[in-house]
Parts: sequence; structure tokens; C-alpha cells
Amino acid sequence: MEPLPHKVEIRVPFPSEQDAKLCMQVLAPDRELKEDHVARTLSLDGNYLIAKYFCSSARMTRVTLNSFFENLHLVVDSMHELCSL
Amino acid sequence: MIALGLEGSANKLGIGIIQHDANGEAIVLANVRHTYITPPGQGFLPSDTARHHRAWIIPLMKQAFAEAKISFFQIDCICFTKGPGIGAPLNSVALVARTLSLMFKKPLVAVNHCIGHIEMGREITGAQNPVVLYVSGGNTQVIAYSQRKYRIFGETLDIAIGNCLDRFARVIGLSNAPSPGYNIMQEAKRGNQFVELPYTVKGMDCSFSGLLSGVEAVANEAMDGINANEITKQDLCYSLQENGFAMLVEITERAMAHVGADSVLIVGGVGCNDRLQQMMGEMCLDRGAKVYATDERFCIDNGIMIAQAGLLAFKTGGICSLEDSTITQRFRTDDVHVAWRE
Repeated sequence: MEPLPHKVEIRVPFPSEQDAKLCMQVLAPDRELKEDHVARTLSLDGNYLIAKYFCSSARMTRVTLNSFFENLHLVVDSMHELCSL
Repeated sequence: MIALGLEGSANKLGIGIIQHDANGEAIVLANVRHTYITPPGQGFLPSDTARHHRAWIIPLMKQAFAEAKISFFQIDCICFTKGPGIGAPLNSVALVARTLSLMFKKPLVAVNHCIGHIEMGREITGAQNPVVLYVSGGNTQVIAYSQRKYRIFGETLDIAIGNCLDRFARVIGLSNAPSPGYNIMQEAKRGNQFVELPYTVKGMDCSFSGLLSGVEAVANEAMDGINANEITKQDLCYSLQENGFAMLVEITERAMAHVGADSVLIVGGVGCNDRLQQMMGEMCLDRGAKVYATDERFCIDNGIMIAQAGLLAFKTGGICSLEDSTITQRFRTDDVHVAWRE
């Protein structure tokens, strides 16, 4: 039995490659809290940010992805709203 | 030079913009804050607090820049709280700091929350090398500066004095607006009876968990009608403050005696408390020493203190890379190399 059998890949489109790269650089430094339950990779594909998650259970997947979307939402909103400061 | 400061280690989200003129004098260009206030009887939980910060950081940022009347291009560095504090809220704020850093190509400065309080206290009051009493909901430390470190002379062995006050406020159903500590202070002024409670000072340190258990036990007895002396909420708030603050005055005085200090600087949210300032003043009068304290703009968690401490660090090369811009729940005051002082 694999330790992290639940796999999810999320492809987030951005207006440009630079925007996708910026978002990736903002999210990359933080490590997952439970590294024996969640593994994550972040990569770029043109103007897409690719987040791949490998989780130990359905519950961990749900919790982790909720957190990812909350943070992604915050970063994207900040990029959109604060660029004109 | 101009610094932006972002603070969100507990339930207060603060954004500050500070300017240092050619003489190093600090001018506050903006200091805005929004507090996550829970209903009476409830504390604030990490994920809810982070949700509050995520919801408010963008409008608060716009408000700060509108007040400062500057554009982001005039900012020299982006300072944010690295820790100590609560993980999820700290992290939400760090994400925005990183985003701004990359968007506007400005350096990041990671700041220790406790040092933020100390540096803002020094700047506002002009205190010269005081013993610092740092008291808040999350921290209780007696600090003195020596050879490029803010050294911890004494601290709580368990919970902070502010945590003790806040949790007692929940037991007696006080409102959390504007803060539970403020409401305890107001109720205490109407107290008449002093109730004996556990007094726990251990050398240079102190402990508040026994005091909390003790005052909760008396409160529960009073609410169940067990108490013959008709002890009121006001009496308990009064007794809790007298007892807890006396402990703080004792460990502060002990540190002052050790280092031969002639002044005390009180920082942190509990530093707003009139009674604590008064009791500290009485001890200092006896010693021929002075008490320094700031008002609620600066003693309650705020962004300007992060900007101030951050700008001091920035001027002495304290830049943080993206990789190092992670947050940490535990960050000792004496782990920071204070490069900006002798």
C-alpha cells in the first residue's frame, strides 16, 4: 500500500508566464505541515501554475487543498488589487 | 527611507508605514489596524483568525497607502512579522509580503514581533537603556539590552499575563470588544474586596496558570452561589489584576536591581493597563527610577512597530531572502542579532 495514495493535480491559468512564476515563488517557501502525510510539487507550464499533491487520506487531501485554494486566492487577489498602489 | 510593516501574529492585523529622516527621526505616515473580535466567552482560533486577516489585508493596505499619500515605489523595504505567534495568521500575512516584494521588486525584512514592540517603545518614549517589561496575550518577558542582544532576564513559565486575563474574561462573560483586557480593567475599577489568590514568583520568573485556575475556581463558586461574602465579578477582576501585576512588578524590580537600571519601559497590549502602569510607577518612585509606556496605538499589536524594527535592521543589512521568508510560531527574543545598536 502506497504511503500517499491520493493524488491531485491542479492547473491554474494566469494571464502571463511572469504572473504564474510570481505566484509560484510566493507559495514555494512554505513547507507542508505534515510531511509524512502530504507531499507537494509546484511547477510551471507556460502561463499555468501546476500544483501536484500526494496525500495519505481523503481527509488530508480535502484539508490540504482547502488551504491551498485559500492561499492561492489571497495571492491572486493581492496581485490584482495591489498592483496599482 | 520609508518602510512598510505588516503584522498579524494574533487577532490584530496591522499595517504601518514609517519614514526615517536624515537624522534617523521616525515619522509615522500610516498606522492602521483591524482586530478580529469574537463573541463573549470565545477565544480566537487559528483558522478563523487567518480567514479574518486574508479578508482584511487588501482593504487595510489600500487604506494605509491612502493615509500615507505615497506610492509603493517610494517604499524601501517590506517588513513582516516572522514570529513568534500563531502559524496560520502569520503565514497569510507573509504571503502578501512576498507578493508585494516580487511585484514591486523591493527587499523583504523578517522581524521578531517582540523586538518590534521594544523598538517602537524606545522610539516613542526616548527611553535610554531601560529594563523592558513585555506583556501581552501571548508573551510575558523581562528584557534588558546587552552587547547586541535583547536578553531575557525573566519570563512566564507557562501562560502570558494577557492570556490569563483574556481567559478569565471569557469565564465571566465579558465582551471581547475592544479587548477583553480593557473590559477587565474597567470592571476592576469598581472592585471593593480583595480576594486571596495564588501568587507565583519563582526567582526571576513567574507563572500564571495557577492564578488563572484559582480565580476561575472562586468565580465558579460565586456563580453557583456558594460564596458567603458575595464576591462580585468586579472584586475578582480587581484581585486578579492586583495579584498578577504585583508579580510582574516584583520580577521587573529584580531585573532592575541586577543590571542597575534606572528606568522601565512597558510594551505589549497589557502595557495599556492603567493599574499596571500605576503599580510600576510606585515601585519606580521607591527606587528613584522612571516608568515609560506608550498609548494603545503602539502598545497593542500594530504594523508600525514592525516597520520601525524592520527599517533599523534593513539599515544594517538585515535583508531576508524569499526562501527564508517563512514564519515560525516560536522565535526567542534573544535569538536576534541586534546589529543596529552598540
